[in-house]
Amino acid sequence: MTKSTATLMQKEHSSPAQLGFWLYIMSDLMLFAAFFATYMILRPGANDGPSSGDIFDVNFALVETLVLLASSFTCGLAYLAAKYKQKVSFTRWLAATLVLGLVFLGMEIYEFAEFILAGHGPDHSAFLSGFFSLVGLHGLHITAGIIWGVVLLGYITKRGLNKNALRRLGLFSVFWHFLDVVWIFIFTIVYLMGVVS
Amino acid sequence: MDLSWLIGRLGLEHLPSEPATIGAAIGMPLMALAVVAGLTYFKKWTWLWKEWITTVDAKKIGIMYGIVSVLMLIRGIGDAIMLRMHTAAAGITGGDGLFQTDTFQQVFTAHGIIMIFFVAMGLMFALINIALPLMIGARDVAFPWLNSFSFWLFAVAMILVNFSLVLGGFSNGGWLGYPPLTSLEYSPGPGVDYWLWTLQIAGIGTLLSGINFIVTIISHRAPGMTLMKMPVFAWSVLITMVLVLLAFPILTATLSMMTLDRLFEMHFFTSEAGGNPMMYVNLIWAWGHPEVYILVLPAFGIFSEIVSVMARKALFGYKTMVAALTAIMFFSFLVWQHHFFTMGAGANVNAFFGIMTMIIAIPTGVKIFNWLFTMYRGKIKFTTPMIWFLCFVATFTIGGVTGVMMAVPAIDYQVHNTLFLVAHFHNTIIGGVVFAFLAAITYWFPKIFGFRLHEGLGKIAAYFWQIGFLLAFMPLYALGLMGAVRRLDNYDNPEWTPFFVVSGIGVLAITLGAGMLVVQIAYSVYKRKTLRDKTGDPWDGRTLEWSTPSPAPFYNFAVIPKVTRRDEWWYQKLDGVKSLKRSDYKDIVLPKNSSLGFVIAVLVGLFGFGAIWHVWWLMIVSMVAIIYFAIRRGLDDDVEYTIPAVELYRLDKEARG
Amino acid sequence: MKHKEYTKIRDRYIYGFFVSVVLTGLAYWFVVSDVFGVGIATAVAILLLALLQAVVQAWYFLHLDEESKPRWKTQSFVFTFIMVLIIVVGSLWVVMNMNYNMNMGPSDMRQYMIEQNKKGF
Repeated sequence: MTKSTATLMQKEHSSPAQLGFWLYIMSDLMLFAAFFATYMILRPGANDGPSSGDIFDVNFALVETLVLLASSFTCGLAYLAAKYKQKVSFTRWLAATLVLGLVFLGMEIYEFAEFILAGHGPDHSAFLSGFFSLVGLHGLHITAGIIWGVVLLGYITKRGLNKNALRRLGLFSVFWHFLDVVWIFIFTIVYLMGVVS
Repeated sequence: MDLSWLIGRLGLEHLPSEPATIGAAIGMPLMALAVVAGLTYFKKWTWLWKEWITTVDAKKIGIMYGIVSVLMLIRGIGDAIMLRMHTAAAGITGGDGLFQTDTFQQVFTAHGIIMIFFVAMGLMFALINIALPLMIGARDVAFPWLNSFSFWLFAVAMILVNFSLVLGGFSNGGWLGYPPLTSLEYSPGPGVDYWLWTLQIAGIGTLLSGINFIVTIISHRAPGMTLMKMPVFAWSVLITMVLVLLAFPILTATLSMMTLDRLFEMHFFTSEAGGNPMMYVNLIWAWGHPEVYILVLPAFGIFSEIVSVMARKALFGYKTMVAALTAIMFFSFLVWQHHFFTMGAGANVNAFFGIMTMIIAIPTGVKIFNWLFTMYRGKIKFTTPMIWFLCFVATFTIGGVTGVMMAVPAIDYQVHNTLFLVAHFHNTIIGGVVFAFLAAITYWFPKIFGFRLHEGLGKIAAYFWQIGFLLAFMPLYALGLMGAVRRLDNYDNPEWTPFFVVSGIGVLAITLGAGMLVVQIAYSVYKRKTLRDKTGDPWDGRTLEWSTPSPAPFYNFAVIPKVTRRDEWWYQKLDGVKSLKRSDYKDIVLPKNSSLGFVIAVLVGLFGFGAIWHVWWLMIVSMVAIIYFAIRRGLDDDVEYTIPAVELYRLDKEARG
Repeated sequence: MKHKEYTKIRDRYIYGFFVSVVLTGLAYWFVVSDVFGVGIATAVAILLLALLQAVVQAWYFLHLDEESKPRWKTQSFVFTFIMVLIIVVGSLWVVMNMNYNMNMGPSDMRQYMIEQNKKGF
């Protein structure tokens, strides 16, 4: 890390809004922690229905993971472009982020629908309740993120990359990266460990 | 005609049917009607809207928290009277007491929820809002709008819990509502849903406040005030809010899961289909134990300020005080299992959590000794806050000692779920938290309203509370050891009757104490001219809030003070306070009022109401509206206004007389 | 000068993305090809990989390494992480210990609960 990049970053870190939003993210981590713990406790409670090894498709989850990771990457590039006032490049990267987010969300909904249609809905067993709520909670966050991103895109198209836009975009990118960090653990603990005997 | 798409499961059969609840159901709407009529008659609606509902000023928000909490304190004490009168009567007459079992259960559930969430937490936020920004030399909190939103969520939750009296009844599952009793199978009615949504909404408001105050303390301190130069109250708030930040999400998660269980018939905590009710107990206490420290740490902070001011000495052992707070912050997350030693965990688990519980008593003990050493060789002024402090030390220490007793799993097996436990936690919450908050109200009252509370009446109130407390709860320790379980509505052991009767008398004495507080406030308002605080510093204080005029102006400080040491104001007074020059005044920026905090909170309340009664369209409509208004607030760039230096100079001269 | 900073930060994002993809692929490979042959070893390995990836993303995407003193974000992140561990591991320990001591599966537990309920409260 060179000195110039360090000073570049420092300027944002002192803002109360950034810190407050970061603390919100910390509380969100705790929220996910409670859902993770519950999922792990309830996993054996399959109620004569399918267990994790029976229904999870790791290949499907891997694609989801890569899509979300790519969107986290493009989100970073969008923020970087915005900081250097490259509006065209910014719009492109943010649009890419949102499209990848939508693809991810679509895959999640597809997976849920598949389970429910097969009779493995969240009300079937404790294991499925835990699974649907943990992954669904992440999906809700993604949905909120997409709405937020669309609103920001509209705002910036209308009013340009002003100071307020950059501030909001900074918060949005933290949120989006954070969702990817949480997903790493969902991928590992729910999907990968679900098929490990 | 089937109206269930429109009104969900609402129906006339949910109107109250028992005399006690019918009385409340008629009384409360009448009271609301009287308030509305009064406001209309005196043409106060605009005033209410402009000055209070849309305000983002932390001091005003604090006052509103205070008003709600005091009203709820009265209701909570009313519940307590019903409970203890019932158990006393049940013993004397040998019958079933005054109320039906179901009503009795609803009353103790409501008593717990109201006292913890709407009295203790409410008063805590009232005092933090009022005192904290002034104390650290800030103009306002970090996010003033969020502060108003938090308050209105709290208020909406309060309305929801009281509305259950009129329609549907409350949960009868105890304040923490253990499943499977509270699961859909055993409690299908709306009572448990009222309980869930009340806690959920109040909890989210609390979480947002937590973020707000952490950032306020971290980035809005006066120049020069390093962390180790902060007043201990600010430290205690910082640590408390860290606990809020990390504990309340667990509550949100747990309540959400139970909501999913009840609304969509999922199986987190049911006793069938693989669900695990013990996981609920585990999670709710993972929040619940930090919660008791959330209540008591600000109380410790308050007494640290009061003792040092009234003893006219710097606080003894400032650094150990901070170290103790930090230790509690960490350990409070490592003791939760002691709430269910008897639930079947093995010896290793019980021993670990038992030892952790004993360890966490040490930092608390450190604090007690620090306060005592602060008093030692001080020139103590026995004012009302100091009287509260002395009552606190005696009472709270008893509560702490009985707590350590119960930290031993073997003893806990004997007294678990008995009145011994009930006595213990009232000992710490009344003797610790309530005494501190009542002391703090007396202490900071002049700063907010410009006149002091009457000293004599305040002392009488304190004595009533102290004696009433001992009468009400010491018998419960004995009863607990004799085997009386908590939440007991009738019993056939005549030996218990005298203890229950004494306890009932104690509750009446506490009620007299609470009544004296009301009299004290009323009399002080009447005598406000003679009790006027002209100096702004009625207690000869040590911290920055006393450097402002009383009542504190809406901008807090005309010029933000510079800090070079602990107890800055005290040493400034010793050096001779320099008055401000004309050129010291600069333009200041303040947040604009906003109605959106109120609007969104009301919509959240409607969402909760829809969820309680399964009115799906109401949930969808209010959720869409919430998102719409949240975006509007999020994109609003015009949220601040400027007061020019000239105007500020004039205002400050006026405030200082 | 500005351009140089731009490429530097962009390269950090690319680097973070690349490392994350590799770590994800590695975890996937461990599980699908059952490299270790022992379930518990695979579980520990992929959990460690997940942790590593979280740190990588915190560094390269969230820029925690560039925070200036007193590093509030990093401090709160570390503390939250410890608390998350306490809550998750503690809950697993407590509840599994109970399950073990009660020595019953979900269906036995249901039967036990029904009998307890019959006794009354």
